[in-house]
Amino acid sequence: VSQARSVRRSMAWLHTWSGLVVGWVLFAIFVTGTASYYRTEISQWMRPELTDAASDPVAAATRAGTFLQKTMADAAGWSVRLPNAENPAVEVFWWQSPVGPFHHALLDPVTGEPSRARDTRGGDFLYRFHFELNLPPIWGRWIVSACAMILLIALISGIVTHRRIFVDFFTFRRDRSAQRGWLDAHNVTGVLALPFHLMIVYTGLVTLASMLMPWGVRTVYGEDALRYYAEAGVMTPGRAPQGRPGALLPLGEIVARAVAARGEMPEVLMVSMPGDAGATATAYFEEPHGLAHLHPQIAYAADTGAEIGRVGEAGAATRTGAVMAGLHEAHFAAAPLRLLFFLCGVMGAATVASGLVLWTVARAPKGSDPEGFGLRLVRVLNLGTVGGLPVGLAAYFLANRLLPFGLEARADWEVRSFFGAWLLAAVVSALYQRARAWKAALGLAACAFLAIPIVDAVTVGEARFLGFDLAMTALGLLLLLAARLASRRHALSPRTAEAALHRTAQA
Amino acid sequence: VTTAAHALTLLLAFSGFAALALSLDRHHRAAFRTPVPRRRVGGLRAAGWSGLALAFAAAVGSSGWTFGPVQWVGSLTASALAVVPSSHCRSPPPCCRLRSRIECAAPEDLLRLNRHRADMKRSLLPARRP
Repeated sequence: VSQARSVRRSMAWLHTWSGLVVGWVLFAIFVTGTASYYRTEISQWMRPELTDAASDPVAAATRAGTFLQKTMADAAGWSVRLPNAENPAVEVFWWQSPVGPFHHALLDPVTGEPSRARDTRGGDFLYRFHFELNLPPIWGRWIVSACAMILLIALISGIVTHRRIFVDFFTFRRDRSAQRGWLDAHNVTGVLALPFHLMIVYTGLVTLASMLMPWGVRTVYGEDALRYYAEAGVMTPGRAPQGRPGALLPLGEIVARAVAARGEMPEVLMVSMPGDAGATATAYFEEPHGLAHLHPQIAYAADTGAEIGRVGEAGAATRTGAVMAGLHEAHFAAAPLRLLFFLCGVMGAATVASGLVLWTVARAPKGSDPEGFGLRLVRVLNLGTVGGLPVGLAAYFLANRLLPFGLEARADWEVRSFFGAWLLAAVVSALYQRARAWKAALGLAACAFLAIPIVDAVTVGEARFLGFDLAMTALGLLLLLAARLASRRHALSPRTAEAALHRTAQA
Repeated sequence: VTTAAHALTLLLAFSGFAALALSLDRHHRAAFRTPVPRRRVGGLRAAGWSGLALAFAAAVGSSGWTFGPVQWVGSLTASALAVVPSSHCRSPPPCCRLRSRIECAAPEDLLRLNRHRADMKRSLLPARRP
């Protein structure tokens, strides 16, 4: 018995401290990742100029090819995302080197010229922040991976620590001490969504596995990663560059062949070495019906339009990995299932936030004793993250509507608004005295979210954004409720936990 | 049809979890003021687990073996979350209240009520209306 107790005690220690050190980053990862379930909807809202006027993807591909030819004929690669109902513009990328920089433009599918839509990164900013934290990609991914790994440790040690998972399954005591309430909130949000938490952190690590554990592939394939991808059934091998200039078919011609071959419109067309006689154009199709995140491909010789190869049937290992990536991103999920994923994501953010607050509540000084440096630091960081990030999110959306249309580097200013508002909210809430700080932070976030539908109605005011605006209103009202509860009890009540944590970004 | 199937999955899972919650003393007390009678535990647990199993069948039946299990797990989380506030309701529906007054002779229950109700001081059984 005593041995079991000591194991549990050391696991509790591990859970407490592993959760604390990565908690703030994890909260941001959970919030932006949860918002990314509605990445398309966010992007649509942030580019109100784009309407889903039906356009001809074949003609649009040809026009995009002309634009890219003009812009960078000697590129290492082009990528053209064809227009569809969800993304009405043609999105093109072009790059000189496979490690970047990657240039990007949205084209009007009818004219083939850069789109009139406002310059924004839309939902893609939140999506990339989720696993790169807006840092240089390799740094961001390593940091996120380290946090995910520690989260996995925290989850497992948390399960071991929790003695009464089944008896306390539904338990949420509001009538006991604040610490009890926060612990219950942490347990309920953690345990009830435990399948999701375990799945999301594990599959998240799997999506980055080739970066985290490159040794197997490197041992067998050396530097020839392309051969690995081809053999794993992830990519088709293209033609080797021939070192002499060649002429391309119009890209629309290749799209038409791809449609004829598979009976559906490809999602993306990639051209490698477009200026070379050995140029390859690969059509990527949408995920087939199923959990796996796989993209069927057909490669064509870009000068003759002859088929070079197709992605074969993926092997068992590739399929396993693809199903895990698919579960993580939930591209397969229709509206009701997506809502469940979103709810689980919110509960993930709630688990992290309630854990962070619990750490301070459990160590709160009695009466008017001064709080020590460590406690103060954690409390201020909690306020800055749990209270500040929603303010930043709201500011990102508000900036999208309020920044002048023709502002130089407008998309960058939106991102600066996000970080600026986050930082400002964190500093302001840290200046408040202990009893009022949460009320101030949550109230600020509530006002910011409630301002979004008003600003949208004044600046754009389109009926198709009603759903997004209502979601923002709901979020604002929840934050308002949380702020009220925080002010009523001075110390945060457990109930606030639930409300406060629903502030996670949504669309 | 899909929406109805999703709703059915949620409803079955919710009922299952509600029965499981009632098989625990704490939540049975919240609803009926008494700890759960021993003879009822087995039935409640069986009902609870069958609710969850039926929810699985509904999810797989409507969404297939690929998406059904995913939908089931998500529905479990959502419906269990919905059970949490309802399993702590402090004012049970009137029919239960009447029964509980007769049944709740356990001293700890009386003490508990005593803390919350001023009129407990005057009579052994709480009388809400004059």
